[in-house]
Amino acid sequence: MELGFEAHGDVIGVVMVRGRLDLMSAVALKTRLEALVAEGWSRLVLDLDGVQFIDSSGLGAVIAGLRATRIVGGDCRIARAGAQVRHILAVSTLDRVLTPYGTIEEALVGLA
Amino acid sequence: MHETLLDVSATFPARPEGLDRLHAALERFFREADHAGAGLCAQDRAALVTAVGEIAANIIAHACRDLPDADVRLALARRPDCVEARFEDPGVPCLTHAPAPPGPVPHLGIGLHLAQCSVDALEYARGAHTNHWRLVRRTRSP
Repeated sequence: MELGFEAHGDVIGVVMVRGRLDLMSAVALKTRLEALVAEGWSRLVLDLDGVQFIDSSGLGAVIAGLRATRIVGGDCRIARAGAQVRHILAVSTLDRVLTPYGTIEEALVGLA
Repeated sequence: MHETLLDVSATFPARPEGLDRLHAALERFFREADHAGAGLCAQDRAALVTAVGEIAANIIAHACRDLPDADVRLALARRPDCVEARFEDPGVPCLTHAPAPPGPVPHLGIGLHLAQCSVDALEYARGAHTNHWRLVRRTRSP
């Protein structure tokens, strides 16, 4: 798994995720998201266009990131989720708290 | 009937690094199904990959946690109206009580729950020293 980051303002950032989000990489994602929040990036968009697979471990990491942002009064959204990511969000009913946005631009609206 | 249109088998080590081989086997299965005119729609692929991924993770993280050098067998089969995945691993029983007969698995963790929600049948059986999983997803496309 590879992670990239792009700032969109003082507290808003886009995290680009590439590869599989599973028990091999979940801890790394969770650690990175929590570190970003600790650095002051309280509003994050996860760009999942490059994620071909996510499992329950990966979901847990994403939820951990969401929780970290919410604790500091921010938010975490996901964008450009592929078919498998949307499937697991639906069967886990986590699409109720992590609505997959079609584009990064849509996810950024209202995040400030 | 149980006509098999194509099948793919693979073995992967019971540790996280083994997931590369698991996903390579899935991709090969999808390619061969497409090539044989028996491709799966995106919904079926997503569901199968989810279920297979969760069972594999469960085997690695739990059943074979103390057996990192063990091998897990995976068999994927495309039939006219469904896809089937079978796992065999030498790890500890999935359930702590006496081996259960083949059938629905009770008391699932979140990963196994997601797997069960993604397929139409999820069965577990305990052999003499092995675990056996069988997943069946009725295909939504021909």
